[in-house]
Amino acid sequence: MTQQVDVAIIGAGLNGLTAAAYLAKGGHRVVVLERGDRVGGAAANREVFPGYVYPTAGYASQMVHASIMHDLELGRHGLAFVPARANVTLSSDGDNLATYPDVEKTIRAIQHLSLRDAEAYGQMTVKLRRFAAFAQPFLEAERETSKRRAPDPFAPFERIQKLVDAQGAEEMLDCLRWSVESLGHALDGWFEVPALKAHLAGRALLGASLGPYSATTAPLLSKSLGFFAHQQSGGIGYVRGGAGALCESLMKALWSYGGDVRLEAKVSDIRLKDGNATGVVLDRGDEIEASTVVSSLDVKQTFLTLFDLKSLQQTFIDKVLKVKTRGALGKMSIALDALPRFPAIPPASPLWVGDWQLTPTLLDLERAFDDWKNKIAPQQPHIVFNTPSVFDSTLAPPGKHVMLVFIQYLTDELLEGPWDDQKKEALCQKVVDQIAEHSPGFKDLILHTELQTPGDLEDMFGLSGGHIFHGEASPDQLLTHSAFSNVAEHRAPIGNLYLCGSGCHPAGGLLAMSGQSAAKVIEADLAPRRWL
Amino acid sequence: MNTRPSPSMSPTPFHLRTARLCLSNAWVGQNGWTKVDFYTDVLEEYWALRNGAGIHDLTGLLHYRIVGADASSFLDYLTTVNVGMMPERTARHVLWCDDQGHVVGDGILYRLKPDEFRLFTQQSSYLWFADASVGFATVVEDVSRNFGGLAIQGPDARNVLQAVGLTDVAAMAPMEVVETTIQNVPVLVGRVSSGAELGYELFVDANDAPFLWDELAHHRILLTSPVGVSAFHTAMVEAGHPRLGFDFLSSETTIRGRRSVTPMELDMNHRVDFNKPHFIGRRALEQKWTAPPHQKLCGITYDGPGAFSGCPIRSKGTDVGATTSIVWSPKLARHVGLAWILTSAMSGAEPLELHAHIADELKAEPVSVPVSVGPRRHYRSATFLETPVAVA
Repeated sequence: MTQQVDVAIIGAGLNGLTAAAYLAKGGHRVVVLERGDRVGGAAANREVFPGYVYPTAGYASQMVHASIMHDLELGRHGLAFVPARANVTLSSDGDNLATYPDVEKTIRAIQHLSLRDAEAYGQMTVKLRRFAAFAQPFLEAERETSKRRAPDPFAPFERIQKLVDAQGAEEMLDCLRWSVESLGHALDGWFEVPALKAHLAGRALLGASLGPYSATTAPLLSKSLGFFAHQQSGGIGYVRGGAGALCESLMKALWSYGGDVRLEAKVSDIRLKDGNATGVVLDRGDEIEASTVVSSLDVKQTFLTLFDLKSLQQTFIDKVLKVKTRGALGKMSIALDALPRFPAIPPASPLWVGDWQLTPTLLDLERAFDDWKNKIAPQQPHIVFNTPSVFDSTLAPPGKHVMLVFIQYLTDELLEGPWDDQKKEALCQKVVDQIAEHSPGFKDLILHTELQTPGDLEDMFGLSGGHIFHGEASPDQLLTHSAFSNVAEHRAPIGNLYLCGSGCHPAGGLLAMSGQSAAKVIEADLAPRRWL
Repeated sequence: MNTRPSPSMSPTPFHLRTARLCLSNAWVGQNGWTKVDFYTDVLEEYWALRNGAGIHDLTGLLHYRIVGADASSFLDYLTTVNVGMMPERTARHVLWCDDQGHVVGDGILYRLKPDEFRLFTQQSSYLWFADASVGFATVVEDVSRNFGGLAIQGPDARNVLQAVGLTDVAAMAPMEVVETTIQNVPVLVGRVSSGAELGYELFVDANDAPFLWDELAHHRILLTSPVGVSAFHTAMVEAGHPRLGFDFLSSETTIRGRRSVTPMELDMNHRVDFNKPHFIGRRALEQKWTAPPHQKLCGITYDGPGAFSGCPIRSKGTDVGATTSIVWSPKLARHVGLAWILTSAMSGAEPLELHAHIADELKAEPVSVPVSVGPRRHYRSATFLETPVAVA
């Protein structure tokens, strides 16, 4: 059976659905092909334990860019965000350190720890905003939309030159230095309170496979504090109903524009004719002819599993293989019988609407990273957790709660053999012990736990290496896209094939901007050529 | 150390007194403290300040104590003025710049003793001071929370202070400082006035703040009135004092380099003294000294339908500047304020126009009004500089 469409999109994840909805709105016949039995991909919700919803890979996110909310009318399709109120580190003496989206408020909170650090925090935000202005040309969502076969990876540098002219070389050199500096070194230079440094680094490094003292980690701070130039993204927030609800609303938007989603439709091959993509083949034998094929998978999955490798150039395959995708993030979901008690935080405190951490110093973070590097199970895992059912009643039965725990620096390549149930159980125990230290009676509330290692994420969602950002979002891979200058523009080195996954410009974090950006490029290429 | 971090705004040491008088319940935040915007009526408070004596809670100013053998040489290195030449018990307006000669901050410096200073600023510069003081035998301490400060301004200000027993103030010249007492409570008094009136600043221990307020506010001999932020600010704009963070930005906070300013652009060349040892920004300032500044912070006045802060100023249709703080001046019966204007447009040959929009029944109506550009100081009262001859 052969179906004919204008655009076939592989993968109904966040970015796939976003690109699909934009293209369907633009009047193209669009079909999205999802191998799973529901939309969402790595952002789907699953009910593993009866009555409890575990949002899978994604949870806290930068809110979807306002322009996407608006363009696709996601509010009308049921999307609602809960803005994060604070980031918290619980200390072992029963106290807490909180930072807030509001800089002034954070400064006042830090004043009680150190006047010097409070002021340094203000200085840091200025520096981060300067850096954001510097990085803007690289992250700019408005791409050149004219049909250019040879995209110019140096275009951002011309704009940097303009900034240098406007701001002075000194400041721009600072920014350049900042983009390759280590976060630990930068924080040591600014602050004196160890807990504050670990607090900022612990959140910034989430999802990265780099330690606090690894080079190029400094820019991650700008991202985690929301200083990158997505000014209308509205900061960090949680999707009501879990990230799965975000995908549901995107699917409804797609339907409303006449697009279609086919579930349990695994693509096994991309059809090529004369070096151009002409459609896809499903593993059950159906064929879909499409004048444009879009992959929302990461580069490794796209090129290494959907192609006859002989049809690709050896140098290109080599580049694909070298993309860093070794994941470092695991996730644990815990079903709780009641709200756990944390003496450091009163039950009705706004601090519940935020992410919590426990790691006290940068050194502890670096040690956790060492375990990942050394391929051993984390001895003292760095965890970032929250209890979304406190502010989202759709996730658990009344009075019950869901806790989501991200385990940073969880390796999937254990030297002592692959993860088995016994090893997973031991790790869960370690995480639970850590939390219980801050929450008397926590262990008695646990009804069910589930641990997903990076390997599990790879198996379940087809994320290479289990990397939630589709590859390391470090400047060497992200800013210049030196290996993939053409993919950065979403155009694959094969005619009519585009990429729109989280690893593409302008990178992930549940922003859906890669999908939007891809749709713009595709739209421009599909537009009838105007002869002058 | 207070171990429980609190992100909430703090009440000022005068809060219990000011809150009772603040019938408007209008509060504004400044550096983490909540202050009264206006108590009952901005105009009433303004006229109290110009015709009688107005009392303003100064909390929100950052208050630094700088002591040590090297305090004076540190301040000479930090600021652009000649601190070494400052006599004891005097105050000065000082600037501090970065290595590029851009202004980082400004404030009022009190010299109490040869090796003890107090510095008051609108915006915190603690980290800048701490970093700059490395290698000097001096301690910079933020004592903002340890003190309560009041400003008293108006033609009756001296009489009120004398009536509450501060006889020392009678002979105080402008910018003079004394350490004295009211009923054995230590008070630091400076004849410093931001509103171009006869005025004083008084600082006491935070615990004594309610006492100081009661002494000044409830004195029955002369009428004093509390003055909120709005009226106090109006007087400040009339006096032509630019405010850090509103009229010019610290180079430590600007995102775009061009938004940083030099002392010359602020028209504060007299605050830069090269007849002293090296200071931060000296080389850059020496280089920039002779070149005419690109832009200047000027005073402007106009007759028009509104106080248009942050609006473009145009000359022959092109933007040549923008307003910063504009207020309606009850004393001058005009809108007065400050604006950044390109020096090339200030020859007077071409008329300048202020462009703005006024919201009129849900529509934005464009307006353009001719403005006149002049010195920043729009007003100064006759009593500002006047000191009575001490009676022997």
